[in-house]
Amino acid sequence: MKAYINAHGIISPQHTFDGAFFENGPEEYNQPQMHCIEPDYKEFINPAKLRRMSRILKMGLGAASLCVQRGTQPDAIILGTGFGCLADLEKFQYAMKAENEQLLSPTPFVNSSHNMISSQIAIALGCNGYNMTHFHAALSFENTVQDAMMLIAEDEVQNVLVGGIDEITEQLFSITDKLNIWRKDNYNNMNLFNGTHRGTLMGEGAAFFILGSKPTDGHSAQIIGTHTFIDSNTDIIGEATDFLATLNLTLADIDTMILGRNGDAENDCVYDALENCTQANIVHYKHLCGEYRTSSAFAMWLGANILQRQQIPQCTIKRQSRKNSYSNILIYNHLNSTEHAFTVLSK
Amino acid sequence: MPQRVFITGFGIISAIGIGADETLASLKAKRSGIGQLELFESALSNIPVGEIKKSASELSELAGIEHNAHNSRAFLLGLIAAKAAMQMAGYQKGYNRMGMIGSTTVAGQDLLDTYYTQMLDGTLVDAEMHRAFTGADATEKIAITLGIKHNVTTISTACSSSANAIMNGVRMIRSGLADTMLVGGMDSLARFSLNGFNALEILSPTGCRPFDQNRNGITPGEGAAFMVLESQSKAACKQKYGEIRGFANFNEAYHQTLVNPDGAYAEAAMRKAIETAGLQPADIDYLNAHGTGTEANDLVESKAIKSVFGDHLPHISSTKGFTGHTFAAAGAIECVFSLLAINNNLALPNVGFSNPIDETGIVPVTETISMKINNIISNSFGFGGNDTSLVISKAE
Repeated sequence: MKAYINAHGIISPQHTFDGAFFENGPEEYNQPQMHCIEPDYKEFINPAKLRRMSRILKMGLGAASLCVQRGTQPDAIILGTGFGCLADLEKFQYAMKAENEQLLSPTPFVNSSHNMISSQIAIALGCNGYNMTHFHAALSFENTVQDAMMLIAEDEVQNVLVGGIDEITEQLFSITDKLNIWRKDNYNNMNLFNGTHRGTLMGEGAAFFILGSKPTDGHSAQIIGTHTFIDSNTDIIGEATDFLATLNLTLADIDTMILGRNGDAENDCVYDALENCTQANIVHYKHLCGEYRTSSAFAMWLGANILQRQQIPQCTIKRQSRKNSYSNILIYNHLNSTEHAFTVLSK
Repeated sequence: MPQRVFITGFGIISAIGIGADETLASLKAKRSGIGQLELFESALSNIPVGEIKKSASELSELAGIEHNAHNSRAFLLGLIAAKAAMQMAGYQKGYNRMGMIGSTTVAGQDLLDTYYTQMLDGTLVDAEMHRAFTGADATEKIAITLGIKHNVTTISTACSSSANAIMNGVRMIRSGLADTMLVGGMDSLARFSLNGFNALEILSPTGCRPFDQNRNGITPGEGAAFMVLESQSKAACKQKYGEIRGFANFNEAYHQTLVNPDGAYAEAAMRKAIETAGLQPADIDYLNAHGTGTEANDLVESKAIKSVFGDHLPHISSTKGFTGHTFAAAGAIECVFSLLAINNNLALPNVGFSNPIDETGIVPVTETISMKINNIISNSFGFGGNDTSLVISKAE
């Protein structure tokens, strides 16, 4: 199974929507939350409809629209989201208590359905094909990509719109901040990996791709496999080796690894074994987009760009040991050292 | 020909019973599980519901685990059904070629309802509780309890969620990514969904009456069903309770909550499911409808059924008059009902029906019919225009 990344559209805390990130470098943040730099949606979405849309829907529809503009109309739509349309869920939950279950507006309830974004994109694009939403925390995006690759392999479709999307809400921050997930100091994102600290930065984003059965002129990379597993006590090198073997690859074939380090010492030590067992270039990305459930969609965008440009953005390099060329990238991300996900991109 | 995928085990819990035997007995006796809401307080307690009359500690006992405040009710229902399915298929625990697809819309909403304010104001600081607010936690805890490690996901496409979980379990096996898949869905009654559907003004004040001219809305229900799907070689020496032979998913791309009145994609889902099964409409013996009891759904579904089957309608019923609408769990629960129908040679009755809808005149099965059943089509249509049909066949 494989799929070509023929187009992307990404809204993130960096200037990624228009590609200015590659010319102007990273945006600096000095707070524990990294919000998306959002484009002027009026170019993509009917302004009359725009006013009534929730923020996460605008992000999703904006990223999807750009993707389709650069690529092609999809035959199917598959999204991954870790928390879904959280702001509307919070709104309905609050109203239900405040109003004692009386005279509630159904709008936030309707908009809190986890598949609302994929359905609204289908309406906007007039796409009647397969429509799916994966809702499994840090595995949501890889499960989405795997679903799309199966669909392409089944000869059901030529082009699939896939996306990973999650939003920051103040309530989510407030609850998770009390759980000591976020940095209490040393907020600067560009220094996220300096020193030994606890906590990370909260992020969000909408990263969408057109995956095709065939490459187009503008294609950036191909996805040759994804693999997810749940285990709190896993031999990561063993899992990676077994997975790569199914693709007829070994760890030595991987010239670059993109790892989901987030600056939290306990979280990051899970990556050490894999990082130390090869000479691959090591790239990290969560100082650019923050930590969120579908952040590996940002990593896939970064990996696709590295393969297409044959250059690793300086601000993402942790270790550059091989400089010649970039052919095979392994993306590895985990959550709470329980949910683990791999993706392999090739030139 | 794509690889055949069989069902080697199933488990179910709903308002009409725990396990296959109780469920079948209720279906045969036309014993509906719809009644008064008893287990939590709500301003909407006068609305009839399909509630499972077991407390959290009773469900924990049935699931064989210690009672724990972090367990959502949907997780407990899911675990009971999943364990039964695994046991029936001869598995104590998972293995490396087994994956799991769970599905839910509101798992964790009961915990959110009880603990959210405390989590927000800091009187409760509990990472495990925060994880349990999200539906994926229910799937993940079932996977961990049952030792399933690879290819675990949760699908959430509103009321077609678990039909999609079943479809994708088959696709996983056919693609070669797994040999065995535990698939299903779980949802519990929650104030969140009761109030949501109440705000949409689609709750039935009397109990749902699918396909009746005077139908007046849905009856919320709760439950879970899981199935073990296996490749032909894996199922070779096992008892096979059925085969998922065809499936299709389309999106209406019409409206977030309204059904497209032309029913084109409900029709397309049924047609393609039958076609991918290698069958003709005339081969379908029984149709388990989505049949929610809303004015719009039942009319549009009836029209779509007539378009597909013409004058040769199969036996038709909606079983939501037994269980209520169990949302994400509905597709899986109705797939297990279909397995019971196939293995016991029955067309299942539609409770709550008196008079056919004027425009379409469809008369559903009102008393259990004993007949040989080879092929069933089961419909699940969700918010966001997500239309899925499955063809479930006798395993030959």
